[in-house]
Amino acid sequence: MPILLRIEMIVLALIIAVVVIVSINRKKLMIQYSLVWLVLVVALVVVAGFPQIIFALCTIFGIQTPSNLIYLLGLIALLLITFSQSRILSKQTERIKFLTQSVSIEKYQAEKKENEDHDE
Amino acid sequence: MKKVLLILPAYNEEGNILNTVKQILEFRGIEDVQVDYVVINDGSTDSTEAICKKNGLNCLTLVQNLGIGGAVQTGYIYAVKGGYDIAVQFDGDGQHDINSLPQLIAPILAGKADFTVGSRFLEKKDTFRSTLMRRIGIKWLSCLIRLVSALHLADVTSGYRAANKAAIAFLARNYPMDYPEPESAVALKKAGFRIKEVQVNMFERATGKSSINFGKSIYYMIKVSLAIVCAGIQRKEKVIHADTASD
Repeated sequence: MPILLRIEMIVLALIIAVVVIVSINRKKLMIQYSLVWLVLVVALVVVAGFPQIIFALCTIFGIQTPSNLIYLLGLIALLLITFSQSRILSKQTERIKFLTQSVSIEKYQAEKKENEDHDE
Repeated sequence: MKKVLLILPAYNEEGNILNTVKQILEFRGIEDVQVDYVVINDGSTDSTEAICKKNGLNCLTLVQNLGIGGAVQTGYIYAVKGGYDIAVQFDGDGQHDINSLPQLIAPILAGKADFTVGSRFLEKKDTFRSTLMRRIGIKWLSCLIRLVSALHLADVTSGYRAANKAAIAFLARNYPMDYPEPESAVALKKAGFRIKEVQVNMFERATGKSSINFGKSIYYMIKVSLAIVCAGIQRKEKVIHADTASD
C-alpha cells in the first residue's frame, strides 16, 4: 500500500476524531450516536498501521487493488450509517407525532375546563 | 344509549368546516344513539381555528400539522378517552353525507361488524364522477388488498368509516401517518376485526382542493401498495409502534 495513502488515512482519521470529540463537548452530538464514527476512526488507523489486513482481505474476496477494497468498505460503512439514521428518523417522527397529539389533547382539555369554570 | 363520535379532520377548511358541522347538528339523529362530533384542526394556517372558536365548535387544535393520519388518530385517542362506543371518520370538507350515517353504523350497532367502510361504488346507482386513472388506481389497490388479506373492499380510499370500541382502541394505537385508509383497513383485517363495506352517499368537494393532486398520485400508489403488502405480511401479534403509543 502506498505510504501516501496510509498517511492520508491517518490524517482523515484524526480530522474525524477531532470533529466528533469537539461536537460531543459542545453538546452537538450525543455519545450514543458518536460511537459509529469513532469505530470508523479506529478502523482507519488500524488499516493504515497494518495494511496486511487489507491485503489478506483482498485475497479472500478476490479484489485486485487494496484501495478498491477500502472504497468498498467505506461505502458499506456509509450505507449502514445512513440506514440506521433512517430508522432513528422514523422512530423520532413517531415520537414527535405522539408528543404533538398529547400536548394538543392536554391543551384542549385545559381550555375546555377553563371555559366551564368561566361559565359557572 | 350508544355514544357515537364523529371525527372531523380539518386542514385549511375555513370554507367548509362550518357547513359540515351545521349539517351534523341539523341531522335528524338516530334512535337510542347520541351523536357527538370533534373537529381535529390539523395545524391549519388559515382561519379554521378562529372560525371554530367564534362559533363555539368542539375543536381540538393540533399544535403543529401532522397530516391526515396523525389527525384522525388523535380523534380515535379522543374517542378512547371519552368512552365512545363508535367512532366515525367524517371529512371536514363536506364530502360525506351525514344522512348515510345510520346505514354506516347499522352493522356495528347490530354487532355484525367491528369496522365499516362507506363505499361509493358498492351499488352502481351512484353518480360519483371519477377519472379513469383514479378508477384504475382504486381497482389495483382493491385487488392488492384482496390478495394480501382476503378483504373485499371496493372503495379502498374511502375516508367515511366507522369503528366499534375494540377497533377504536386498536386504531388509537396504530394508525399510519399519510394516506392511511387502505393500510389501516388491512391492518384491522389482519388483527382479526370483522370489516364490512356499506353503500353511502358522497358529494363532490364544495370548496378547496383535494389532498391528492396529480403530482402526488404516483407517490401515493407506490407508498400505499408497499404499505398494503407490508401490513399484509405482518404477523398478527406484532403491533406497529406499540412501544411509543399509549392512551
